[in-house]
Amino acid sequence: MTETTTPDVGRGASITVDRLVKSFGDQRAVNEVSMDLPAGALLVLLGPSGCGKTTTLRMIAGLEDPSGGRIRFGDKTMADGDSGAAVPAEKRGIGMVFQSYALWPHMTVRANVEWPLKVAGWGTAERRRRSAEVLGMLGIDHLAERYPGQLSGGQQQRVAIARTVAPRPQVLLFDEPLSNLDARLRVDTRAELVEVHRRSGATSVYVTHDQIEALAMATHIAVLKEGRLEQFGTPDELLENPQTAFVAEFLGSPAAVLIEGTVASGELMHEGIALAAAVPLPDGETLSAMYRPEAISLAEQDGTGVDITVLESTPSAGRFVVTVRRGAKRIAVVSETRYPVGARLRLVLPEEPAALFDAEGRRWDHLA
Amino acid sequence: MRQTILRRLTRPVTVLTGLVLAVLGILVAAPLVSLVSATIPADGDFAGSSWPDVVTSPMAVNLFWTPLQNSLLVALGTAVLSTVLGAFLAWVVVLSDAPGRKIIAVLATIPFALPSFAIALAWSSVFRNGRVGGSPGILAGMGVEVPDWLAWGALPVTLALVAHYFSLSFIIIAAALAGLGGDLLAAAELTGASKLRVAASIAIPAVSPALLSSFLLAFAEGVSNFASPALLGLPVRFQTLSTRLYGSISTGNVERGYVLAILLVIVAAAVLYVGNRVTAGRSFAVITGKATRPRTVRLGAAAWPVFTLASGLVAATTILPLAVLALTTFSRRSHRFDDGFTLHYWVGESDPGVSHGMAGVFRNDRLMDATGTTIAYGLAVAAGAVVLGMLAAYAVRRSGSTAVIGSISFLSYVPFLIPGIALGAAFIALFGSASSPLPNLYGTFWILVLAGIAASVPYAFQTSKSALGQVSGELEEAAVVVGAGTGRRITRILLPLSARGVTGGAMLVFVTTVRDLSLVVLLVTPATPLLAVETFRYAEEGFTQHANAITLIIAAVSVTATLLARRLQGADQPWNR
Repeated sequence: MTETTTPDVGRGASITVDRLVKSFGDQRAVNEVSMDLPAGALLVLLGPSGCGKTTTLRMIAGLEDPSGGRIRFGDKTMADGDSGAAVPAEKRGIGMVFQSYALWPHMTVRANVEWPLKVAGWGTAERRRRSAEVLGMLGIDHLAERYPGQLSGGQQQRVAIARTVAPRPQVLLFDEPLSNLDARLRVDTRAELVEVHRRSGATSVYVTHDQIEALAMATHIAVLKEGRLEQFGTPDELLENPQTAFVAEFLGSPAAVLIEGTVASGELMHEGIALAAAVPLPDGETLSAMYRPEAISLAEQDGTGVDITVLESTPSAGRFVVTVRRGAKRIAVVSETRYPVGARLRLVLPEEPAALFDAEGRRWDHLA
Repeated sequence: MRQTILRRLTRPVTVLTGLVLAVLGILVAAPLVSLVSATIPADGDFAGSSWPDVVTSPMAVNLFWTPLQNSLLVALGTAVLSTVLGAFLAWVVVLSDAPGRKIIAVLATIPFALPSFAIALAWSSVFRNGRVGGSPGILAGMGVEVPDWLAWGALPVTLALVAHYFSLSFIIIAAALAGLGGDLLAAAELTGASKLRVAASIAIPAVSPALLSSFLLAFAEGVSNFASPALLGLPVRFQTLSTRLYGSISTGNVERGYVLAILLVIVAAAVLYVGNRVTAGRSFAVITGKATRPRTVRLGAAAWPVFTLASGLVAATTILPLAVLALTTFSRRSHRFDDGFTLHYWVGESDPGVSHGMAGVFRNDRLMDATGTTIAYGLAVAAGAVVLGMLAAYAVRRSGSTAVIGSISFLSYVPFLIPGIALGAAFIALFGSASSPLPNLYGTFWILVLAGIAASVPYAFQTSKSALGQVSGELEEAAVVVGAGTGRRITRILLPLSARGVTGGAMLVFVTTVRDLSLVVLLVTPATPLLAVETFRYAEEGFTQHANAITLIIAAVSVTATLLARRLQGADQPWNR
């Protein structure tokens, strides 16, 4: 990346999504999703496939019209699903990187980057300068005269990014842009995307199902599940303070450990072990106790704790991520030592769990 | 050493490859070689051969150059109009929100399933005027003065071909447009470019390989089609290369016919070959992620005019001609509705007062005979072509030798370049002349079947190759590992897994075979009557009702089998997804 380019900081717009709904037939792909994204933020829409994240992105882009709710950029309403009014996609000041890259196959790399500028009425010299600038920024200036079909996947990806940022959009949208790349390239390109976002100053929305990608890139994360927003916040908020069991188990590497217990005489019990004390609920209610993987330790069979069997030990930064089986459930914890596959051990849990969730997976707080 | 060679030679795949090459040699290479050698004089003196007659003599203008000009004119018109209309319909169906798109999409694929003479006969039934005698058409019957240029010659020949081939252009272009993916166009729309600009700068250039190949295919078909110029041009001596070729051979100037056949092959093959070369390097690979349906262009106020135009076009080339044909078969006098209607031409007993005593098509022994022969012919060709195609595709798949793969692929492709009527002439040269080393089959059922198989090999080979391609090589290798022999792998693994595609392919071969006229028009004799040729004879002799009735029967069989075959091949069309 060259330092001669001028960053276009401060061009972003804040994005407000208000009770957004999208129905296909009687199925709600997106169900009452609301969030407030400050200008210049990088929001990651995260969730398993079919959770409505791409549909949400396409509504922000204007490629789909909402069935209900509103989308605002700054104080301008872009789409109102209740009245049906919508600003057309091309008038919203957005740029979008598609999962398939959507490079125009009959145009050279340079022409792909310059054509949107030409449509926007830029002069020839200005277009040439800007395309050289963005191609240089992404390190693909030597490919300017090639056709997309002659490029590798990673190169095509960069062209798609260059084409999207060239017109200096206020809002940048990315639809799983890294999913067609191999693992190594994905990590490299991820860092570059964050840099592109920072330099452009545009508010960005990024769709992925990869939580590591989300944690690495995002200033804000929205976790979606079956069309509903599970939680919206900064990565730290989501990690520290998950509001649902789904978020707790979906985020983090390894993710938090949930162990289900039953209330008996004001204590949450799991096979004779007290998970939490002072639980003012009737006997027989079930709650899940959440523990951070680094707070759990493994011990030999004869101690106290939950019986488990070791499935695998993966070295990670001088320690080991040990995956164990507990009944039908897989749990990953962090350990100082490697354990052999098949070893029968015990999970030693801390005194109090980090959080409790009720049977529906909602955060349960006995103070509330 | 000798033993290893022997073992290699007897390996099942080697035997199979040898067999396939031998059959392709006889069906494809040998007819062309005899066609050419039949025009080379034994003494090597071309001055006395048919070549100067056709190319340089005073009669060459009439014999070759004017027909060549007419063929090229008709082909150019067909190519331009077919591509424009096909592209328009593809745009309406794939990218616009015009009402009735689904039904337009279905109707637009039907004309190509109709026999090409159906539209020509329907045209003639409507626009025929009194110039060549016989009963005038419906318009003339109503007292409308139909000018010659509308009734006969270049314009009607071209339009009848366009009505047939725009359907092929539609299929090619619509598939390409749908294959572009919605993202590609959405990316262009996001720049703020107008619909027109997106179409002109992105959509059309991105599908230009499809546009070009549709243009060239329609051009090649326009050059080589026989039925349309034979019915709408020949009566007024508007000759094309194929009608000239037919005329020469059927009047006994066989050698001249052969020369014309060679020249016709050269023209058609050159166009198709150039087309393949040009488009081969230009197919734009589009990286696909999630398949996104293109967003439809909102037509707004233009929706209904666009709908009217598109539906009018498909109706005029499907429902309308079929309705005209149907109506005429019920009219007591050709093309006249004021003398009342009758079922005579379908089920009537022989009546000396009507059509020289010819019975209705369902009571007519000669036609029943022709129906039986046609079905037997279609089935034999379908079975033969598919078996040959499968074996060839399998040999190509298993053979390690590039020379073998190259020769099989080339020989299986060549008939695609040869107009049907020229291939018919080549079969006469091989199986119908005393000087040929092969048995004389002229006048038998088998010359028809062999020629039919040869003409269908390109399609059968491609279908088999893609059907086998659906079966991953690993599935077969897994069977090798457990010790299954070649025969067992083919029958237990490959056939069951590719059966649907292959059956669909066989049905389409059946359809194209039974409705084709140009291949068999030179090969049929009274001993082996075929429906398509009977239609042509009736039309020539002015038995309109009979010709139209048989055409309807062929059309019904064609359309039904085509739709069924598409179903079997799992072709939910890409633009319907």
